[in-house]
Amino acid sequence: MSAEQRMRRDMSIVDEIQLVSVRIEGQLIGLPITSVRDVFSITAMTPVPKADRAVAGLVNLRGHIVTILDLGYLLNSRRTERQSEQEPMAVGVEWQGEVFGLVVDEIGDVLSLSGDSSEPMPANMGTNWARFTRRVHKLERELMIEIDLHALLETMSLQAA
Amino acid sequence: MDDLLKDFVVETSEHLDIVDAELVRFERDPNNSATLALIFRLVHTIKGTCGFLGLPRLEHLAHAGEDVISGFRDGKPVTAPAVTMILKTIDRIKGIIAELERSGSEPDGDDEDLVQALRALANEPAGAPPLATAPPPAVTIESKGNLSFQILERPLREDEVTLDELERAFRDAPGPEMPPFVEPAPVAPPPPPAPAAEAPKEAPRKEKKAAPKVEAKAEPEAAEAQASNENSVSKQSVRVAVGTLDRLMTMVSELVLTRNQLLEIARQRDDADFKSPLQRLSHITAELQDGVMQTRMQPIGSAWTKLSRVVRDLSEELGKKIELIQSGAETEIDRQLLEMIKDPLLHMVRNAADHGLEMPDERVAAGKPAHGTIHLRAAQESGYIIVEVSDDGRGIDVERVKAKALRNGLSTEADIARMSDEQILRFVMEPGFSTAAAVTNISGRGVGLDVVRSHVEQVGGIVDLRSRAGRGLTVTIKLPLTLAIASALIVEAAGQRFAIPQISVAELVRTQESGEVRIETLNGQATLRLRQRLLPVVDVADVLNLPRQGGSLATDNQADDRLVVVCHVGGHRFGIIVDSILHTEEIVVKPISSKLRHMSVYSGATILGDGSVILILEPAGVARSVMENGTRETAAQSEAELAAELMASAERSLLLLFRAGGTNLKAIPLAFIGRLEEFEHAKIEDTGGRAVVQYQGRLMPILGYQPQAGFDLEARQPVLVFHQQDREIGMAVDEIVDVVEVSIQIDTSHATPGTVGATIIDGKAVEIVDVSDLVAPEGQEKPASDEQVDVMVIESSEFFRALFAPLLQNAGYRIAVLPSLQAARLAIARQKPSVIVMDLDQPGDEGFSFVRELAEDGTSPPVIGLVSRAGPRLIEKGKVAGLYDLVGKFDRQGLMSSVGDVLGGYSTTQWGAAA
Repeated sequence: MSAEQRMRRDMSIVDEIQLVSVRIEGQLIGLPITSVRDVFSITAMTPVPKADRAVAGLVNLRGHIVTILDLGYLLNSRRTERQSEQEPMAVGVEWQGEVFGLVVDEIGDVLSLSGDSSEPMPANMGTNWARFTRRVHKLERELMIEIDLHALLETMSLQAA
Repeated sequence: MDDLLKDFVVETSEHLDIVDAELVRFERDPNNSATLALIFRLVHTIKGTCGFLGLPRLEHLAHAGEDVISGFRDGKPVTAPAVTMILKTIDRIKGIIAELERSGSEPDGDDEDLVQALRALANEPAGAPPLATAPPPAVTIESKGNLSFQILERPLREDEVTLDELERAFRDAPGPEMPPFVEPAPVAPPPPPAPAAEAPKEAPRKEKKAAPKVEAKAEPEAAEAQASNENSVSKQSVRVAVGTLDRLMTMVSELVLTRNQLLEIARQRDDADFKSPLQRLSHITAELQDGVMQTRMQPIGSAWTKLSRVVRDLSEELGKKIELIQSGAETEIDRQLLEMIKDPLLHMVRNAADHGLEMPDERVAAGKPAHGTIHLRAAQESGYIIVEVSDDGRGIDVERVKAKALRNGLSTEADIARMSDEQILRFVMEPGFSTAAAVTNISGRGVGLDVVRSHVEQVGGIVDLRSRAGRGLTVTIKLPLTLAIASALIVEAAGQRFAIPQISVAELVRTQESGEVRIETLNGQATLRLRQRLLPVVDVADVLNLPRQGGSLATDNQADDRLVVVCHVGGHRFGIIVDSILHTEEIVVKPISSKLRHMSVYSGATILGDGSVILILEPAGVARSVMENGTRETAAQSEAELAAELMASAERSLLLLFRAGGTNLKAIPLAFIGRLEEFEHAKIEDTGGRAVVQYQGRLMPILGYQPQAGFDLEARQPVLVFHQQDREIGMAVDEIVDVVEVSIQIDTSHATPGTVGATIIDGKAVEIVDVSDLVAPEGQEKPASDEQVDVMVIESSEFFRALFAPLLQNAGYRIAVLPSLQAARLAIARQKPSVIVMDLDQPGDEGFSFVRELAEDGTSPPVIGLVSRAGPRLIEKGKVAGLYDLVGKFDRQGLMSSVGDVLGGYSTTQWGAAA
């Protein structure tokens, strides 16, 4: 194996990434599985009056208080309309030692993808999307946006402060 | 940094703290050989351990210090410079250790200066240090190891003595009963690195008598050593990492929460089988919680050890003699809390030493002992820790605080005039506030008390100041027992539950639309009238923008039947309106998410027994949203408040009962009294036959003052202070008896000069004192309004204005109250009253001529005259002048029926006929 080949193989390993697929307002979004802790349904959420609008509320997740963030609001800057009959689902992510729940509409499979199928964000997307998107994966049927969680959560703290 | 070094740093820091404190004690009591032995042993241990770890700088320093201490042991006089020198050395060692902790290695540097000075001290009177010339050591088991060790080590430096000599000196230090087992520390041979790593770890432990085998061997000595020095490092204890304890605490907190959840479930289902084990679980959890909390407890004295050193240094630096008295050092307090209040304590002690205490000559001149005293006190009281720092210095000059507060724009003159001294004192806790005339090295940069306050409030505590002018200042800190678990009030607002920390809750009240406790709006701001005091109130739902059915308080006046949580935070009292108060619960305070931390209205969140998450309100944060509004509108509000206060004084009035010049009870409506003060008789001076006293920087006349010849000059004279427009007038009384709330039914037939009548309170006749001369005519008139009114009251006495206005208002009339005829003349045309009620108790004929004037006008409304005593002659005169009716001033019924007659039946055109 030539050095170049080996390098390429290594790169593809590095690039091989597992993403948890979720859906927000119809858009398929991938969250890196390494930062996802768990997936749970939201029951009995306590709203936080006067807080940033991206903060949906607080829930008790097995004795821990988890702050629920509205992923749809973070990305689209407007509150997501949801059908009220079912309990909303959330993806628990860990960031800087703290667990946050991101409300999503639907949670799908875990997909293994390589960097080969991806491309940078097209320029015509909204600013928030452009900021929080790492890249776009071209799946067979549709496109999936891989979210940069760090950028997302960090930006949010800036807004809050 | 390796573990070894870490252990060394931790232990050495502890030892140094003890040495610090012990040295200060030793300086005062140089004959205490036990203290000296302890100091010597600690310094020696430090030196020994440094030798092993290859820390030459530390070793060098400790060594030089040890020489001096050993000189003391040999009977050299203990001088302040020597102790200062050693303390300096210890500071240097501390500095090196701090650097060591940070970087893992000794910093570069030279300590030759200190070492030289120390050596000079050691050599001073007795020539060479005695230990250097001492004979070879008496044979002991350890000395063998010693010798071999020394052969292996590097050659001695010129300033060093052999270890053997040191060992011997050390062993000799406390006398023959000194336990020998401390020796292995410096002696253990270090050739292979692994055992070397073991040895120093072992050494201090042995010293602590934690190793059982050593203890067995050294039993008698140990006992003796313990008896001879209570401060000995030896204790039956295990060293546990703080992190482990914190984890334990977190887990217990969780357990408490889970238990609460279970209890909640059990409450809902009546299952007997389930109940008894749950009971037990509950008990065990509670005990476990206590136990774990206990492990986190430390005596507060551990934070005080540093302070004795600080005070000593300060007293040198400032040239003041300061004594530090500690009591309650054994009071236990949560470790975390202790850390948080260490700095505030230091600030407070520094403040006391620097600003509080005067210079010795000043003190002597003031008749106080030359040495100042700072008293540290700690106690546990009703679930809180109370820590107090008091000094017997000059106290805080309220006047200076006032001046500074005005200059800094923290308050307005009008506001300050109405504040109590306590409230004014609180300004010193505002950021950037220092009353120190000069900024000194120690304090006075205005970063003192506000830091104390913010630190203390951060942990849910409360700071209080008490100053007695010339006698000193006491700062009291009230802290919760622990940070992790707090008692909270669970309330509901707009359908959402919140927790309010119990520590800041003063009381809970329910308001009623027309009751004594009610909510009124002043200038659009809701205020709570509680025991004749007005408190700002906020509606939680408003502050948090929660939608509430039926609109918010500010928009509609349906302020009846509300629940108000009255909070007392940082000297401010205010109310928080909630919809319901559910219960109290022990809550485990969880930090709030980093995304919400910037919100000052929340201090955290918690999980309740039913598993739901609720937010913990931070009353100070909620208050800030009120107070900000408050300060902006103070000027407008104060007037409105004054008016409201005056109105409040009618119907049921608060009367101050007192005795003056006789045994009879006298009374003055409280609303008229500005302040109650006490002055020492010695302070009351005589100027041209008038008694005056210096009050708030001015001379205040005191009426009715009888010089107390032969009385103790220390005795105090109670004085009622009346505010006039630009000055105060005092009225001396013999005794202030009580404040009562009564409805005034004044019988004017007993009016004598100086009184307005008498009333019956609790079956006793009480004279109501006429204070209309004391409460000066309020120059400012009501803002001219063009609104039409039903009744216009023209009354020059504030007392009666306050009496009539609410009476008529409560009857449903729109009223205007005017203090003078001149004002009335202008207002009548604009406000078109249907009836005028006016005071005819005026000197001269002005009142009656005014009535005539109105009567002749023809279009003017009828006039009802008010007189103290309506004699037949006066009635006749009134009729002639064209008066509609003449009523006695305290004849409520008469007045009301007369007003009712006019407004009910007669129109202005009919009036002429009636007259």
